[in-house]
Amino acid sequence: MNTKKLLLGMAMLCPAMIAIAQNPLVNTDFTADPTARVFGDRVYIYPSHDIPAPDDYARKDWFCMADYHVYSSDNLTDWTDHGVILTQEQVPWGNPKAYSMWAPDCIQGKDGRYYFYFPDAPAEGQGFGVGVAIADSPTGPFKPQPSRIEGIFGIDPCVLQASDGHSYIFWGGGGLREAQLKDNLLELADDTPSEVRKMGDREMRMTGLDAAAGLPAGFKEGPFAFERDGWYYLTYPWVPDSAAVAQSTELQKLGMRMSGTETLAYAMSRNPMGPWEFKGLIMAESPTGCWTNHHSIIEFKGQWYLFYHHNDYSPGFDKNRSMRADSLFFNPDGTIRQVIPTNRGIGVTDGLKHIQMDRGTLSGGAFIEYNNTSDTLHRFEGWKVRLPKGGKSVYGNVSLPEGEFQALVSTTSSWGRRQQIKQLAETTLQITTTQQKNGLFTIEMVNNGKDTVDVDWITFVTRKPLFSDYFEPSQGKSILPDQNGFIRRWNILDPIDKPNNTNTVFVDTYLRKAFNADYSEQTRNLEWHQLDSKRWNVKLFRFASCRDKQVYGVLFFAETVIDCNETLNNVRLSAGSNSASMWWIDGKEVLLLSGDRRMVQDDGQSQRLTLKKGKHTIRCAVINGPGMSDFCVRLLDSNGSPVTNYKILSK
Amino acid sequence: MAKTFISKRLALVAMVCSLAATAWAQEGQPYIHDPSTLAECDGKWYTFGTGGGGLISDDGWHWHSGAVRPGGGAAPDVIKIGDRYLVVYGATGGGLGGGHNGVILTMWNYTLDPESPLFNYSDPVQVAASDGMEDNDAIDPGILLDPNTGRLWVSYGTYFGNIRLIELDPRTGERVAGNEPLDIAIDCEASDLLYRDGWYYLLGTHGTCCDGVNSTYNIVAGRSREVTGPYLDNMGRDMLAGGGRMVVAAERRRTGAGHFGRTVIDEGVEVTSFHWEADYDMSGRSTLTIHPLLWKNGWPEAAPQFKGGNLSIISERRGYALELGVDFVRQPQERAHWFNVPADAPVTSLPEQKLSDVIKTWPEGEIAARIGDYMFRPHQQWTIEPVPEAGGYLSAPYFRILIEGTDRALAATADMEVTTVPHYTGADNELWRIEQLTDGTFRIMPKQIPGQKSVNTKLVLYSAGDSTPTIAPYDFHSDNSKWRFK
Repeated sequence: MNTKKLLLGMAMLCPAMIAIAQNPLVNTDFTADPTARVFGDRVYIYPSHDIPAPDDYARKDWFCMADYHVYSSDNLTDWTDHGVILTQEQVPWGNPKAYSMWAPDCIQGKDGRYYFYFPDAPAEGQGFGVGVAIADSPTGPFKPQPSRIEGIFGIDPCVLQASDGHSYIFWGGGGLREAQLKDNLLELADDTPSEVRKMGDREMRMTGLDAAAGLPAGFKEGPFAFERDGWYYLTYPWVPDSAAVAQSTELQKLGMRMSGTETLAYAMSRNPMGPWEFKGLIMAESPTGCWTNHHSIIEFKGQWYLFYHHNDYSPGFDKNRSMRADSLFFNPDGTIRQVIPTNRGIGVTDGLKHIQMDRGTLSGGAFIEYNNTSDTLHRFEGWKVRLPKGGKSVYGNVSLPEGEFQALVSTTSSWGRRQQIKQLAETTLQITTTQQKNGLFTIEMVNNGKDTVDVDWITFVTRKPLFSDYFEPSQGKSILPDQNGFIRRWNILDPIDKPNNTNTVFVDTYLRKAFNADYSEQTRNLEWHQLDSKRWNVKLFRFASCRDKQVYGVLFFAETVIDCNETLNNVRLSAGSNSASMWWIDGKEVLLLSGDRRMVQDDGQSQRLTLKKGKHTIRCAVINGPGMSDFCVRLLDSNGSPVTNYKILSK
Repeated sequence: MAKTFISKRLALVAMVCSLAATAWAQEGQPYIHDPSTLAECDGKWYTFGTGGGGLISDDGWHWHSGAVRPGGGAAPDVIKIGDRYLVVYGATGGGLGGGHNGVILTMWNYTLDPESPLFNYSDPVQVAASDGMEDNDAIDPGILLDPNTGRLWVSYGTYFGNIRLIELDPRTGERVAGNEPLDIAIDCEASDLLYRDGWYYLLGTHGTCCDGVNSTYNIVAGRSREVTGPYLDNMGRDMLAGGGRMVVAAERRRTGAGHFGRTVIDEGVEVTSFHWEADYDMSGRSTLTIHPLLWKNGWPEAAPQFKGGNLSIISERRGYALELGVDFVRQPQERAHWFNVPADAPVTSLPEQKLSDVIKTWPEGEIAARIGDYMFRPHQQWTIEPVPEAGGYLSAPYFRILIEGTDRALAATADMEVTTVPHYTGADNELWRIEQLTDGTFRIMPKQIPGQKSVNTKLVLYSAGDSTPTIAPYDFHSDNSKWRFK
């Protein structure tokens, strides 16, 4: 517990960016009952904070919440944890050891300040009260009022700021209670009605209206009210009575599994105080078996969203929950289309960052597993998707800049977190991108191989330079020099390991020795490649790097054969290279470029040469420490003009 | 006779040696690598280097550490746009045989003075990056605000592939939307851009960096009519093919010129700032240096810093020499008509006129200066010496100008004429700022006119007539403002 507190303290000082993006929204803590609010151009979420029961809390199998965090995002993908905003020890009227900081809400008052409503167990008396803490910023610091709101006995406050200019508070306790707030947002209106309710053998005076009175039985807790297009919506967790459902074809049509856990249901009214007319389900029971659900609904940048929770990271204990969100849509008559929970969730995923393909829509036998199942908290390490042959994941709303990309795939071994990052070409996965109407991309990943593949995430990286950008295999018997006389057809040997940390050693003596040494032992397993360079400079660096060969501290040999139709008099071999190089014609050294060379066209030239009609072999060696090895070579005539009237043969 | 001649030469040699033994470079602690283009802020000069931090100078000659640039990384550049300074830098260090995931960032500041309450860098904005695999390493940025179009350009890159050009928004320092990088050179480092007289110039550093006295670093240039290139050298060779005409390479006792920056002081007065990889007179450390920048047939060349010496001062107007207004003393010579000299007569060497031959004929007090036929006579021979304690002005310290062998000093008068005082006093009107102009001539400015409050930056030694020197406003378009040394 101490460790946990320390971590929380640090979080307060240093907001943490969490880029998990998909559902659940964050993986740093358990988060439940998310109340999302839009302040300015950011979404703020005020959830409950589930923790594993500490030593001083006896109810190990019960909800346990000691404080609140607030999270925010401006893109619904990257969430910032602003740290602790209120603890149970700070509440003047609360029991500092009750661990009962249940579902809160937060609104901005007309005075610009932020009013944070929260339930807590009182230090004296039983049950729950609701308090208010006030801050100048949505992320606090929040200062709790000295006492609870008089008249509220219950949990899960929600404040509706209605277009009629008044604010209304809803809570759970003796039914779904509703009352108008005074303008100070701290007290119930003076004319708030009340009634006496029997709670077991006790009689209690309950303030406010029971908004659920006219609704099908089964309201549980966590009301959330909002307003849209002249309608007020009262939404709430609901566990319908199975007998009532059995008698009602209307209720049967709602698609409930009748698992006895909470659905999210709603009612509508033209008035903030009702009467409320039941309309149906927003979300059916949790597929993970989480008994509770608790939610909020907001509009952000033209789209409506439902925030809710499941117990994704704690499948064995449904009181350690994780908040989620999905898009929500309305029918033309204002009714709500049922939301099917997805793992993909909301927001745009940056394709150049991790794309959690396990959160996609899975088919073909694909299924998700935890990356690490060793204990509850390790499940925060997330999921992977297992793709058998034909298994598929489709993941939408990914942003990609223009350009060419290749996919990197993070695969996980079956025994834990150890990851391998593989280029797509090395896997049996097929990844296709399809542009959506909104300009974003849908990523489809299919396993075409026989073996099952585990994928944690994929990401797109700028396309690595390809061998084919620089070279192609020589075709045809011969080619001509290019229009500037550069010789582009070469037979090139794989790089020979020749360690050099710098290029400063390339003095003439060293080079003569290095270039004329016997490399037969080292070259036994190396191959020659007959290639045509696509560029005037033969990019040896790419010759090596694109085939994952050594690029630094290497020695290259290249050879070509030219066939002169007539004798070439007074020509010079003109070369440039990165770094040093030596040049031979028919076995005779004609040029040495020593020192730390960079690619300079016509850097050095041979003495005047006569190349008789017929074939001649041009050979070069290029050495480099840490450089981008390349060379260029051509024959120049006595005027310095390129010679082009000869053929270059394949060896 | 012969004996005197030899001893005089020895004295000259000794003087040259003593000059060479003195450190000749920016004074103070000018230790830096990859200095950004000099920036002036509230009367002080600033330059930033690789690794963070930078140097400050009150006069451009004496430098000390203290400039502040957060972000580390490599090879920054700085430019003033409006009332703000835009600093651009490579956030990574580049990798020798290692990673090439480079990032170029820009940030603004209203001042470069870390003591100022306004000193506050804006959050850095990324304007370019390299992914470590492509033929480019996004570090070493150089910046140009195009005076024709107002558009802002940055060149960047290293020996790992190509130098690239991008465009920024001069209002925000951010990359112009949709702007694609353009390859403009291969295998350079520490590139920079400049515009002059209808041409865009791309400067790049070639050779080996960071190897002390063995560094071969040198700065070359190509030019283009368009900022987007192609940048061709004097041989018509594209910098994408390794082309480049030398701007500055090693000079005696200083090696490894890198990271060009250009500063225009006045019309026809330009300097280039760069670093020496090793200054032999500064323990072989990497130092800031500032040299006159000359333009020859449309090509930039860094000239050596002016060091003074025993020199004649020749007017560009007429080619006469600056001299004391004293009697011309004829030199005796035994002469015979040429037809009376036997063909086989021995050849002898004649002595030059000596100071001691004439000095007694000179008045003792002030002697006005004059310009006359150059006759290498003592009243035309000047010793131009640096006065280190007098400060400096970017490419040199202030000098005193004495008649050789005396302490008679050239001085500006309160009524803006030129005289010589019998004994050098160190007064500001006896100190001279000597700058080589872009055409290779020099301008010679008194540090201060007696009675005037501020340091003079406008008035120069001037040919009023062929024979009459005066002090008048500098005009690059008039040879009256210009002088040569002989």
